[in-house]
Amino acid sequence: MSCYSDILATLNASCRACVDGHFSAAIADPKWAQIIDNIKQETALPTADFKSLFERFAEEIGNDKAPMEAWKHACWQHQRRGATMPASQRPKRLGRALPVDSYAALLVSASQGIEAEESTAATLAAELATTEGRLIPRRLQRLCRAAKVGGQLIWATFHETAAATALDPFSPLPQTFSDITDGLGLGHFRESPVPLVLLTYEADAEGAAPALHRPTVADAADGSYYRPHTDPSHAYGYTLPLSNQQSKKPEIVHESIPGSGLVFPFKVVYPTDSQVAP
Amino acid sequence: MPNDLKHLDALENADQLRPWLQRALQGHEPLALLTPDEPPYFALLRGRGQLKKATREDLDTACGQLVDSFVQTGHGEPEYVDSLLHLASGLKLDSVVIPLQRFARRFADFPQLPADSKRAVLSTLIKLHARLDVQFWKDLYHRHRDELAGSVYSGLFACDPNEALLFLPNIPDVQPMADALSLQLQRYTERLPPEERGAVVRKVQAALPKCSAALKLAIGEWFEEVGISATPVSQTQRQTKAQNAVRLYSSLMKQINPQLQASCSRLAEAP
Repeated sequence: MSCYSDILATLNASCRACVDGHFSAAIADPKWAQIIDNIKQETALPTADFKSLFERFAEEIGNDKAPMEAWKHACWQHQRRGATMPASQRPKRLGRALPVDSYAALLVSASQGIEAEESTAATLAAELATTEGRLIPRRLQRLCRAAKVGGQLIWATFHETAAATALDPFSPLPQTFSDITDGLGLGHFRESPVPLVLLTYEADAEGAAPALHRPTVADAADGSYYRPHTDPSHAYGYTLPLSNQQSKKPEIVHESIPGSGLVFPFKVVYPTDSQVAP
Repeated sequence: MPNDLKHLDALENADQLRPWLQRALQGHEPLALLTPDEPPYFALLRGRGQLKKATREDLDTACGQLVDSFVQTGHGEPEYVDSLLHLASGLKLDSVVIPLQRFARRFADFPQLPADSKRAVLSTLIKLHARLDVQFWKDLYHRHRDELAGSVYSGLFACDPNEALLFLPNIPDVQPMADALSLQLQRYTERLPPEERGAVVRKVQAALPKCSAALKLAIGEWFEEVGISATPVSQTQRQTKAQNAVRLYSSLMKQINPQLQASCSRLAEAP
């Protein structure tokens, strides 16, 4: 792993000028400024990938893209490249928070054509909400297990204490919308508040045992709430809580997997106590 | 903020917006996604409200044009087609109904078209309340059988729920489909007035013996949860059960209150 300045030195002159020019300029947009700061602090992206990421960024800039757009495009080609978590540290259970509507859309995809004028996704979202926190019908459990838990890039958390990695990943957090988004550093959900379903799943279920990667700036892409962990050899990353009420939580990224390891019941949290973005 | 949609207001017309929209729906344009794996149409539908009226109209037009292009060739990755058609239904673009309906009748001319894309087309027609008759859906089933059985059931349901209930034995032995169908049907039934609920349940009970194992399981669980028998109870059976109950009550009353027992005995007699 290398840091920003080391990578910069390995780039050819024109690429270096492009990258350095964009990342050293005064930035008015606080989000873009934060992303650039993250890039400069990154420690988890392998050298070859970091170099390739910058080269791609320069290429996209050459294609007349705006800097943040160019960065996001470049990142897409370099995701899930952080170190794979060693088996000895692999948690038994993972958790992710996602909008109820997005999850309902995944369930509809698994249903192979069952659709209603009022939208099956809406029906399933209502079903998820009404069964929230309780034992849910076996039919819904099976449908959830057949559906995917997310798309190509999934961010997940877990219970960090070695002896407790089989515990509910969300259990260290008070389970309200504010506390979940606070502890997991999900500032974008404060900007667009929607009900969230908290999925918990076994990390090593049959047919659903993905490689767990330490997150990098490329995984975060245009997400400004990511913070690189300072220790390059650490097996996973950490969230940056939105307030000082919560401690940081561990985080990893992985590929899309089916929900065969889902644990029921799951929790739904509502932005009734939503706050403005910090 | 570069990844919101306001930059679209600078474009002059739908022709300028269309290439951007196509790339966005393919996942090649930065959008304000809530999670990195969220499909693009969610962000487009969320962000549309912040656009100028003229840009919103251009977005609608561009979406309709992309649907037109798709139905002419059938080309497009399933994820793109899914996002495009979700956007069209989310925007309530009635203008795409006729092209999609014609396309659906010609599915057989596009042998490379993935089943997911065919289902996305049919799902859009249902969500846009297309006026399709029962025969349209039955013809589709005859041509595509199990591949589109879930969509055909849903289409029939939108036309006439009774036709959909008759179609239940054609649902293939696919558990996620059966589970989703059962949840959907339960929700529908629970919203009916009490006097109509029984009729739906009896039709399902009548169809159940001919249904796939997956559907028997899913419907059986629904019935079990709410205390409905999986087999229809005939009028005679219901009378007999009621008479037995009254007889039992009558014999109990004989021990407790002989005067009341006399009226109970009269009730227990067969009509």
